[in-house]
Amino acid sequence: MFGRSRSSEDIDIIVENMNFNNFKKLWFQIFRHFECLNTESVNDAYYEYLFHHNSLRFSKKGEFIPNIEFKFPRTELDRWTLKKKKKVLLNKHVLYISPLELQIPFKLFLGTEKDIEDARHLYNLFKGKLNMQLLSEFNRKLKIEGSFNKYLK
Amino acid sequence: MKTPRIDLKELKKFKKENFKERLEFIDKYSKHINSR
Repeated sequence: MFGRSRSSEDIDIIVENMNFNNFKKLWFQIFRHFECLNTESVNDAYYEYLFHHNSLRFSKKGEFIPNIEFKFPRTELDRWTLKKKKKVLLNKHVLYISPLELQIPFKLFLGTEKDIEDARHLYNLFKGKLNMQLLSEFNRKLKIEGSFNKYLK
Repeated sequence: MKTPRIDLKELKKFKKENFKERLEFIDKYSKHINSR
């Protein structure tokens, strides 16, 4: 979304918990254009994956990439992310993203080369607009101050 | 802004599982590409 030259491979989406009937309705709506890469069964998708806090991957039919990683909130951090989500207008469509002050430290926490490059890109793009106190708090809690100083400063 | 409690042990477990799941996905994807 924020313009790294590579295309996205997967997009993580945290969805508020829902009961099976509501999920089933959503599943059939999604299936008009997409397919689930994990299972073809709506029962398994809900009870074997989401219910056990495993994510599902959806992609356009016949394609693997890009795909959506769809999951219910599992940790307090997931629930905080839903509560503090930021609204983004993209081609007149409303999207919600997690606060960048969390996204950047979390990518450093994940720590792969791709994640570090993403974190660096986001930080350079938004550094004048970030709540640095909040970002530092997440750096401290995730114990990644060293990586932050090494890769982003 | 109040930040949530972070259970690093739980997050590290997630990181490990997520990495494993990504590897499995890449393996599945490469089989899909090779079968074309």
